[in-house]
Amino acid sequence: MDEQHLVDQLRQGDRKAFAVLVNTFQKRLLKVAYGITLDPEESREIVQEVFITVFRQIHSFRQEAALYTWLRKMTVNQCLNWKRRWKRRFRWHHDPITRENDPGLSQEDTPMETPETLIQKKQFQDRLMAAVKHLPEKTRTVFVLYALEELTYKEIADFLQIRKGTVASRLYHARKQVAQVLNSKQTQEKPV
Amino acid sequence: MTNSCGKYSEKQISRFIDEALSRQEREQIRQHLDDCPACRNLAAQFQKAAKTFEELVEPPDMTIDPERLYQSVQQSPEKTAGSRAGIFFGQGVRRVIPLRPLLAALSAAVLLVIGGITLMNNDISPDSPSAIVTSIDTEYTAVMIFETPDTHHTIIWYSET
Repeated sequence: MDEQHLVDQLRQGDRKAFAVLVNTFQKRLLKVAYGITLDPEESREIVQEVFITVFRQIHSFRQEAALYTWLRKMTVNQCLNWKRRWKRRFRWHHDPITRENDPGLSQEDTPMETPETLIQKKQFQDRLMAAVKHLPEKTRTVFVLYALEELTYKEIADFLQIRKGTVASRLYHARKQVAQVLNSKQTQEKPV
Repeated sequence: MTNSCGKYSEKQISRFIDEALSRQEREQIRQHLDDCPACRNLAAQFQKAAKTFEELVEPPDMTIDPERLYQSVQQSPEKTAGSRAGIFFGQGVRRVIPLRPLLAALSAAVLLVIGGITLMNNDISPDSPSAIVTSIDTEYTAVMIFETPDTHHTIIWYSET
C-alpha cells in the first residue's frame, strides 16, 4: 500500500489501513521513543498515543512531508512533554520494588555467545545506558535523531527549532559521554 | 577521556566527523589525523559512539497490537482538553469558576497537606524503593499515587504554571 493510498484509507477510518500504519512504523517509533525516554513501557504508551492521534487527526495532515515525519515529530514531542519528563525524573529517583522493565540478558542472543560474553555484553550495555541516562533529555534527543534517524545538522535544527551550532554542541557532548564508556571498555580489554 | 594533543579541540574533531567544517579545515584535520594517533583514536571513538548507541539502544521486545489499539480507539470517544478537565472536576465547577487558577490553588493546597502529613508520619527518603500505583492526567495538572514497602502512600499534584 503506497502512502497516498494509506492516507486516503485512514481518512475513511479503515481498520486495515490502521493495522498497516501500526505495523509499518511501530518498530522505528518505539526505538526513537525508547532512545529518548529509556523507559520501555512509557515508549509503548507514547507510540500508542501517537497512532491514536494520527488516526483521529489524519484529516489535518497536509502531506507537506512524509507520514513518518509527522509521526516522528509527534513521538518526539510526546517524549519531551513536560508532564512526562516530570514523571520520568521522579521514577528515576526511586528504585522500583520490582524491576519489571529490566530486560536482563536477551533471550535472542545468538547461541554462539558464551555466558561470559553475554554477561560482558550486558554489563557494557548497562554502562552505556547509564552514561546516556546522564545526558540532558534535549541532548539525548539530538543524539537519537542523529544516530537512529540519521538526520543531518540542518534537519535536526529545523526539527527541534534550534541553531545548527546547538546541534553540533549537543552532539559533541553526547558523543563524548558514549566515547568514555567505549574507551573504558577498550582499556579493560587490553591484555595485561 | 581527554585528548592529549592540543592542536584541535574535541569539539572540532566531532564537527569534522559530521563534515560540518569548511573544506579547508576538514583537509587540515584530515592531514593531522594521519600523523596524530591521539586525535585519530578520538575520531575513531567518536565515530563509533553513534553506531554503538544505535546498536545497543534496543527496547525490550514489544509489539503494539493494531487490532486492540483500533478497538480502544473505537471504544473511547475523542477527548478534548476541556472535556477531560470537565470529567475530572465536574462540568458545573468549570462553568462557574475559571479552571486554571482553581487548579493552581488546589495544587498548592494538596502539596501543603501532603508535605505536612509526610513530615509528621514517616521518613521516606528519596532513595526508598517505591512503585507508582496510578496517575491521573488533566491538561494542567497531574496526580501520581505511589507506595513504598511500608504501605505509605503519597500523592503528588503539580501544575504547569
